[in-house]
Amino acid sequence: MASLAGGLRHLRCHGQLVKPQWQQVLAVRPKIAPKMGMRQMTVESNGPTRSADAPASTEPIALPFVGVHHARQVPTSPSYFTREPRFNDLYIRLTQLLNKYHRLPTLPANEAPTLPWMKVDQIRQQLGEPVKSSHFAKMIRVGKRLNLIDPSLRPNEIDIVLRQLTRNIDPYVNNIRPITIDKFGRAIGVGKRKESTARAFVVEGTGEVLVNGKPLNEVFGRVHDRESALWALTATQRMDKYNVWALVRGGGTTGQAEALTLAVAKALLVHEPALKPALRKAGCVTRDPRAVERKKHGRVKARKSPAWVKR
Amino acid sequence: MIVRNAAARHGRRALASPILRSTLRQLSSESVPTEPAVATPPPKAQLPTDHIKDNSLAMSSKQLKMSKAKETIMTLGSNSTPTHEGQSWTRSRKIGGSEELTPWDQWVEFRKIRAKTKKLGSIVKRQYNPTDLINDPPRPQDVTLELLMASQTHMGHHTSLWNPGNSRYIYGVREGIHIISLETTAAHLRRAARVVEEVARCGGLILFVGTRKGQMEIVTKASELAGACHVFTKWTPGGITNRDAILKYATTKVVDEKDQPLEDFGVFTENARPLLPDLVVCLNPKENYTLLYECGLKDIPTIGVIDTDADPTWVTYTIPANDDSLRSIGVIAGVLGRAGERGQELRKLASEKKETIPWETSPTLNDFMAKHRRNVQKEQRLALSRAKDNVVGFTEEEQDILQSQYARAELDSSEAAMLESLGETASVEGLSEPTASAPNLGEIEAQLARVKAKAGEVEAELKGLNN
Repeated sequence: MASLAGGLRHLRCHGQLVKPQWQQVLAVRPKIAPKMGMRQMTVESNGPTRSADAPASTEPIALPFVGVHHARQVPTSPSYFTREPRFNDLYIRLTQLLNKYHRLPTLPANEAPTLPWMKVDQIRQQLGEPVKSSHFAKMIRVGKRLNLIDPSLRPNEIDIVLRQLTRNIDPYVNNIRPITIDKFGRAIGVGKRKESTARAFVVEGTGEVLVNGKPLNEVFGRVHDRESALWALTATQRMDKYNVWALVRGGGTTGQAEALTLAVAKALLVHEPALKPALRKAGCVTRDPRAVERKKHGRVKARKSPAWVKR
Repeated sequence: MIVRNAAARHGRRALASPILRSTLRQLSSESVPTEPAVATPPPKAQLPTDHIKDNSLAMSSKQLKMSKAKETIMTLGSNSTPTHEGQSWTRSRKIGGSEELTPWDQWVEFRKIRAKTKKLGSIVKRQYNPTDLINDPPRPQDVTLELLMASQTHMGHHTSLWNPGNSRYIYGVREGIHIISLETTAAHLRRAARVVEEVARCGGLILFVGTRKGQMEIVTKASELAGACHVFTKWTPGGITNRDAILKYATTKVVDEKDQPLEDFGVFTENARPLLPDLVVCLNPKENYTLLYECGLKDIPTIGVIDTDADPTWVTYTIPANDDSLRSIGVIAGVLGRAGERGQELRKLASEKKETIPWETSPTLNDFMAKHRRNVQKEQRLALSRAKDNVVGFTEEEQDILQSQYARAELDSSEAAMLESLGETASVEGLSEPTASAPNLGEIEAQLARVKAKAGEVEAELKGLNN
């Protein structure tokens, strides 16, 4: 019995293996929901079959292909033999539009209307084709050039095509929520560095610091780490004016300490926005984007090459 | 440093620097006092453009070059013409004493002036415009040796790179490269054009392939003209020999002799095997060996542009020509595209005139249609026999059985309702008898009495008359 089940399982998985991955993501076609709570009429199930239904209808069954003498099968798209026909059609359409309208006056790049451009993954999902990112970059470049055309002079067909290259969101609505001081007088800042994440609750006070419920010297053994954790306060000489209660997760000690720097600086900026230039000078405002570089094949580490012996 | 030479050194450089176009124009044309638009300088570029320039200065020259190369879009169709950019085009402003002109008004004005002044001055009779290769490609009858030579089709590769199979196409050697014989090119090009035209006329599926950089527009234009397919990215190996897997999700349709899509073929197009091209035109055979090999396996004829370093045995119909120049490729693909266009026209003409259609329906399609028809006829017969049964009707016993089996549920459900309705009717009768019918009866009796009296009178009169 177990062997039979195993065989069945194998069969069940087979279809998944054969199908390309990208097809699975896209091919969920939304069913049209019944409106106004009406009972949905199902045609195929729980009713008489079609053959039993046929005599009930008084209309005679029409003979198909009447008057069809010649028929041939042709591709729907001229990009039939390519791996990404729909994408190629879109790209061709864009270049045609560019050839047609490239003489219209263009805006400088920074004055063109902001559009939420599609990402490669999204266009792959939307079209259901394994679009190469280099091809996509080419297409987006053409799209951006079309977007430069002055909006008052831009023909409608460009807008229609550009809509296919943009996400369905309003870029102007997506604003950053400013941090505020809550009713307890706390400003909450979040900072990250390497793998660490820190949340700092900064209130006006006398310079007490608790990290993960522990004093600073218990959390960070190194003096350097202790200093860098509160560098935002020491650099601006606010050490004795604020209390910090922080939570740090992930990463090592250096990452945690520097994540704290950023978190405290952000929270401090809510209390005293005028400190921003000073904090920027002290290097507390910018998120350090450096992270561990990935290891490459053919290398021992990210960059270290294997030992080379002449013979 | 010698001071007395400084003027000569710097003066020369100053002179050598290109003169601004605006100053040139001012020098060459008279200033018109009635049109102050020339005199008023366009609004000085504000923050944004200056900002960009500052940024670009910060980059190294190499970075700048790379970023520019990234920004430019290489297209034959639009690269060679000037663009209208900058704030003078996209800001509404006053020109002269007029009211403020929006960018739209400015553009309209510009077009008006351009249309007026376009034909002024000397006209260059023959000039090469790269976009013409895309917008108006040459026809097979336009192919002349001059055109081929002007389009650099005769330039082969370095003599050391040659393939001896091409020796019959080679005219000679000049400056280290082989020169392809133009007569051969023209003859082979015309022959290939005939092939394309005939395949298009017979409703064949043509595939144009040009996968080199910049060939995209040439290939798409040719295929658009010829009603064909195109490939301008890497050929997917197995697109012909393993088409069941590779072209699994590519969609097709079925059309009639007038290229109108036919209905009722949904089942067929879903289940049929993917299509094969009937003719493949390859503009760069060197990079597409896989494709040509697959065509060879499936007996698909191929047309290929064979440079002096390519193997002429890879393709069926060779066109010995330079395949490294976009201009040469543009001419060749354009001619083939035009030939395909002509073939399509001929096919449409034949279908309109109801002549013999130059192509036949494929056996698989015929089989499908016959099978579908047979199925429907069977269904029709079934329906007809059922209808006959209905006319004859069931016997009483059969109807009883049917009712007892299928109508019981209905009866059950309506029993209570029936009882209620019966009770209602009974109560209505009981109420109405004493109240409503009693006066009616009295009236009727009175009427009857009156009628009787009248009848008596009439009888009495009749008796009197008789007597």
